[in-house]
Amino acid sequence: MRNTNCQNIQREIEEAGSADLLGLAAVSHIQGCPACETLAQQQTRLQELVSSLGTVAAPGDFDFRLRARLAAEKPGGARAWHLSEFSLGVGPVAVGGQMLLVIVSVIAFLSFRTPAVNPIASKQEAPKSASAEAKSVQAVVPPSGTVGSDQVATVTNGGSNGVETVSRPSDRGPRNRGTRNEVAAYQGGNRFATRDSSSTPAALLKHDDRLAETYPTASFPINASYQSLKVSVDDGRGASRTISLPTVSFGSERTISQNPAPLMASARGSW
Amino acid sequence: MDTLTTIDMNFSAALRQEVVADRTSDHALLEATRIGDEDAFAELVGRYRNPITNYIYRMTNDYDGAVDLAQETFVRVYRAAERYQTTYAFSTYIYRIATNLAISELRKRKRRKLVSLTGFFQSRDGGEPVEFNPPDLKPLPDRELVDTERRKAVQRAISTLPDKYRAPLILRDVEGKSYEDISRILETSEGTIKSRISRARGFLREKMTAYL
Repeated sequence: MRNTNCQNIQREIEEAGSADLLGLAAVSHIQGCPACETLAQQQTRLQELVSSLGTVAAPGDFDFRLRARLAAEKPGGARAWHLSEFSLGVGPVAVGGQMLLVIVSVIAFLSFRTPAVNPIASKQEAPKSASAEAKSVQAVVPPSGTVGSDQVATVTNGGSNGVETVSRPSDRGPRNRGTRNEVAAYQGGNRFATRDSSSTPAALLKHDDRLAETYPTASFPINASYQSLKVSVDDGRGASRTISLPTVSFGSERTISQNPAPLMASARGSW
Repeated sequence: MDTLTTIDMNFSAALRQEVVADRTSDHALLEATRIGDEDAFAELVGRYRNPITNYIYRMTNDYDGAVDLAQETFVRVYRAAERYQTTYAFSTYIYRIATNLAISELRKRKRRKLVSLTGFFQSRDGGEPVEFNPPDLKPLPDRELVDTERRKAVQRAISTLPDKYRAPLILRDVEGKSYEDISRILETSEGTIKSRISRARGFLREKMTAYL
């Protein structure tokens, strides 16, 4: 019985951890039991030793290292614990660099790209793409007021077919030397072409009274001619094609020429 | 105009005090962290970095490793902030994470099977291996050093306890947690906790006989 009682008291002593926390029954038993008293003293002493270990503090840079650790985990989608020194993560900088690269590539592509000319396609789409054709072929209007029906403008074509400068048979005054001096460099098979443009200002177009008498109801054309603009394009292999472009009226109306078919292609060779 | 300005300032000050008062609880700080308040999380870290570091150090007996695991504890708290439920106290939550990390680290060490110096000094006649125990030729230390050495001995003794006895003993005798808190942290019944603490103290008493 005493052993059982001692076992219970010893269990209670171990659970309490200190003699100060024992119940009255255990205290009275200890006073009469040397073994249990020794155990109680040892347990109390052990409790004091364990309690005297103290508290170990975190190092001074604990917060700094924690912030760095959280910032490093940010690209994964977790919230970032941003502070002023960690406001720019690797992710945003990388995305910005990629966007910059894309923009630079687009700009480089556009700067190197030269307009392509496809006379065959223009002919096929003649009824509805006359204005587009005019844009694709960089026809240069002479600075003078009118262009005769037998005159053609200089064309530059940076396509793979190369470019031939088609000069006008007339109007080669001194004034036109600078403006008409467009040279397209043909680089065999290369679509890139260079062009030297004159630095003289564009010609000022004036209303021609003579033309107004002929076309009293027509809108003032911006190309200074009521006749079709003919453009000749050479493919560099001896074949050339002449395209007749209609005049474009200022506004939404289109001047209907009395000439048959606004776009006439006189193919002198097969392409 | 001056009157309006004064009223506005007072209102702001009162509102600020209310906000500060609401943020003193751990739950409020964690809730603020959940919505992106960095200062709230910094406050939480400031409150618990020392206790958590100390607890893990007592568990692993490795200070650098304890610091690393303490940081990992806060990282996990931050990551799981949105999933945190206010059913239990925040201290229970963070101590549970720290306990799991410490026990994982202890298991890793066991798997590594570190080589002990015991056995290197086996006698030539093939007797039982003895531990490396060089003679101490230094002069007798004073009382302060004795206490320091005693504390180190206690720490070493704790580090030799099995994992399931070590955690409740440290939480009870070092961290001062109640049996109820310990049972929640370790997700074990209070009776089991008391039993394990008793066994742990018995183990310690046997190892520390020379110092008791």
